[in-house]
Amino acid sequence: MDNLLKIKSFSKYFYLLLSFFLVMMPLYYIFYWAFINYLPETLINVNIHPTPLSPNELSVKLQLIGFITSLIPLSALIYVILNIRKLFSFYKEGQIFSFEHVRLFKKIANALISWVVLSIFYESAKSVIFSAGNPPGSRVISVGFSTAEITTLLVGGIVFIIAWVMDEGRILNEENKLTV
Amino acid sequence: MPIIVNLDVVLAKRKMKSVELAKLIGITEQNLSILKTGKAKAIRLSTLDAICEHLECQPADILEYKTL
Repeated sequence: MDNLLKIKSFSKYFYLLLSFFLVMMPLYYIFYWAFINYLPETLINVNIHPTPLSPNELSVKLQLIGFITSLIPLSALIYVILNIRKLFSFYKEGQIFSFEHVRLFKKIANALISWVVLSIFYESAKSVIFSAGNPPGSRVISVGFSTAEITTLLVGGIVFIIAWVMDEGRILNEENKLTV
Repeated sequence: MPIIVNLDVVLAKRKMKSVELAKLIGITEQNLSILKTGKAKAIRLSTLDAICEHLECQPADILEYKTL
C-alpha cells in the first residue's frame, strides 16, 4: 500500500475517533460537575476508603458555576478537536498540501496555547469552588503550572513549526504541479 | 517572466493539434496547456526532448527570451 492510500485509510479512523471525542468531551464535563459530590479522588482504591474529589459537598449553584467555568477551556479544546478533524477530513480525501492545511495547523497551535492559558484559569477557579465551603481563612486559590501544561505548550510550538514546514511543502507541491 | 513559449506557433507550422502532441510525448493535455499558456514554472529536459523530437525542431524554436 503506498503512502497516500495509508494516509487516506488511517485518516478515516482518526476522523471518526475525533468525532467521538467531540461528543464525549462536553458529556464528560457535564458528568463531572453533575456528580462532583459523588466522585472519588482516585477511581481505583484498594484496601482504602475512597476520598471524595471535593472536600466539601458543593451546592447546585457552585456546581453550575463550576460547569460554566469549565466551558472556557472546553471551548478551546473543542476548537482544537474541530480543526484537527477538519485536517483529517482533507487527508481522507487525499489532499495533503494546500494553503488551508497551513492555516489549520496555525489555528491548532494557537488553540493549544490558548487551551493551556484557559486551563490554568479553570484549575484556579476550581480550587476556589472546592474550598468555598471551608471556614473563612481556609479558602484557597491555587494557580498551577505543571508538566502537562509545559507538554501542551511544547506540542503547540511544534505544531507551529510544522505549519511553516507545511507551507514550504505547499510551495514545492505547487511548483511540482507547474512542472511539465 | 521574459521567457516566451512559442509552442502554439510551432504546432501551427507543423499543422499538429495539442491533443495529438500530448499523446505523442506522453503528458496530459492539461499539462501541455500549462506549457502553452506560459503558466509553467519549469520544463523537464525529457519533455523538451520529446517535443523537439516529434515537432522536428530545436529548443530555441519553442523557448524564446524577450527583454521586458
